[in-house]
Amino acid sequence: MGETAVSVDGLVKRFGQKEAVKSISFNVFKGEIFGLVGPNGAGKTTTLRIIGTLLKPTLGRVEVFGMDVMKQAADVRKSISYLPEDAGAYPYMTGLEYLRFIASLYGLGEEAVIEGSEISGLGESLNERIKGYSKGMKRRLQVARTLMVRPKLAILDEPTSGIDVLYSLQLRKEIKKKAKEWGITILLSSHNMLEIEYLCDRVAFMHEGKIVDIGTPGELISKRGASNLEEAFMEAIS
Amino acid sequence: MSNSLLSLISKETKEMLRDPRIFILMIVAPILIFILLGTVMGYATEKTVEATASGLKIAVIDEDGGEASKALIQFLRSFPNSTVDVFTSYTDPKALLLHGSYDAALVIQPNFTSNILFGREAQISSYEMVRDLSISAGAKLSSLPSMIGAFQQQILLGLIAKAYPQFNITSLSHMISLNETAILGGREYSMSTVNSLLTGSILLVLAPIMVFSIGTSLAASSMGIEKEEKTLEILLTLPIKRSHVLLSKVVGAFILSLAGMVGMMIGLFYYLNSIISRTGTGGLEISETLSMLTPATIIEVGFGLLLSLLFLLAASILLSTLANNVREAQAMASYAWIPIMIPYILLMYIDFSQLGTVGALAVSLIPASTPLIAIKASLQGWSLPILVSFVSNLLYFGIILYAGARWFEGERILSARLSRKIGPVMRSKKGK
Repeated sequence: MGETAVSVDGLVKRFGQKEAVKSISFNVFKGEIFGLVGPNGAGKTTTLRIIGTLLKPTLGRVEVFGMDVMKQAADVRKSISYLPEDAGAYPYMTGLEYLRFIASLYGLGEEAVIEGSEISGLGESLNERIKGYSKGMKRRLQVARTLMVRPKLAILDEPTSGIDVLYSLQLRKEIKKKAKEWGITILLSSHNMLEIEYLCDRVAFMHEGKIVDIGTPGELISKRGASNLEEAFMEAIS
Repeated sequence: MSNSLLSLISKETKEMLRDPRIFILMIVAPILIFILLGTVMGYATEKTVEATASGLKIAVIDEDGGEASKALIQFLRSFPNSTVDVFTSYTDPKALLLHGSYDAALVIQPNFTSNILFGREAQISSYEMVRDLSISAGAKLSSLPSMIGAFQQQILLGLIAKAYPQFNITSLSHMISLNETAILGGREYSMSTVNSLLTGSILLVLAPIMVFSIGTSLAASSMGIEKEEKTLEILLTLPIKRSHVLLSKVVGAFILSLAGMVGMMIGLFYYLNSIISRTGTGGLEISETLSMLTPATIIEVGFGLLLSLLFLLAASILLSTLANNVREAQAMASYAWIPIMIPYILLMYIDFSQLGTVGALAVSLIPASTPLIAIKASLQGWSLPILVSFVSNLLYFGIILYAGARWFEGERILSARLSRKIGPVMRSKKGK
């Protein structure tokens, strides 16, 4: 185990009477790809939003590279790049303009934009306005935008949602490649167990706001004598 | 200014300019509407003037046959383009109007001449054909009483000339010459200049209202787009100051408001000028109006406009964070600035000094009233309301920026919706 990138300790998040996250704790280590797996309403997105400084914890402590997400939110934002599940882009910008806009906010130049263009695989379409992009094209642009800035921590909420099988595979390869090449720590959530198995070094099963198990995909499968991660998850929550 | 703030401002202005909903509806359409309205109104005014000038076709049923009735007929014939047909025996005036294509029928009653000669009331009955319910028809109808009034004036002049043969009849008609001087804010002006200012004062009231209207819609749209396109969540996790997100939207909307204002002012000026110039009363002398304002007043008005606009833009952006999309955001902003129009409507009709000290200071405290207070109070040489308005509006802007920065730092900006708040309240009231 290496240096801790994300530390979540006793995290609770309530929205009024509803407790979306119920005292969860886990660590993500530097350079690893860590996945949160669970059905809708498990608390995955809420957890990612808290780590991404969008929401504040009700109780508990969350640190990103030793920085408190509540007290040092502005510093945390300099280290992260966040991809929401339902992310949009400015419709009247071209794809290329959008990548340039994001790069400029990170103080990066044309090199980052070129890298973003390559990750997106959108080619000539990058010169067209985002308004005309399909859902899949928009998602590819968003994944590219998240990774091209070479964040210390990339938070990806359902990174391949809305992308067809062919491009999903391509994008997963690209995420894995860039994570290793650039040393990016990745924290992601997904419904897709194949994606999780392919990408993640370690996985946390989440159910009804709680973490029910954590381990490598292999450990989680063998621990329950399951044939795949999906079976292991079903065993874990039953 | 930091690079990230510049990038954000550039993004705001480009996105709004490229969005046809914003560019066409808020910048191009108002100009075109004013130009179109001006052209139509100008044409209508021209036609009204033409209709009045084209003269009347009059049937005169002369039951008197005396000198005075003949003089009246001659007088009516002296008007260019007017046609006068005389009927010496009684004819039904209604039938003449309905079947004879006359605009009016005059029945000169018996004894008309003798009544005039003996200083008694002389009777004429008039029947006028109303062909349409239009301004043009109304203008034509009003010309006959004017002609009779002018004849009466001529009779009086004739009588005076007869009694005082030494007087020149031409100079009698211009016996009194009125030289008017207006005193405004302790300075002397010609009445024509003040009249020009009064005409132009419509612009002075309309201009800020229009700028506020465009600005608030633009500002609200810029936040509505973020919600509609689901870009806000990303924006709030980027390594930028959240107050810069608010500031860039204020600046972006401000730049476009100015562009919209210039376009709209051109359109409005064209509209007013095309109506006024075609009435034959001369054009709208904006330069003459502006020359009445001292440099200090112009600076106060300009700064007041800037301050009020910035406050309203920031307020609209904050308010529109409660919307789900552009349409909701624009609706919220448009309702929000309606109360702010109260001083503008009030002071368009009543004199600022009529409000009294307490009333004037109360109006000066209304957000965004500064440009109007600056012009009204400075023309009357009253500096306290201007000071109160500036200080209070500066305070409002400071408060809204502080509140905005706090709101953007918080997590509720992502989830707060006005509809969600109203829903449960309405339901609980219903339940009771």
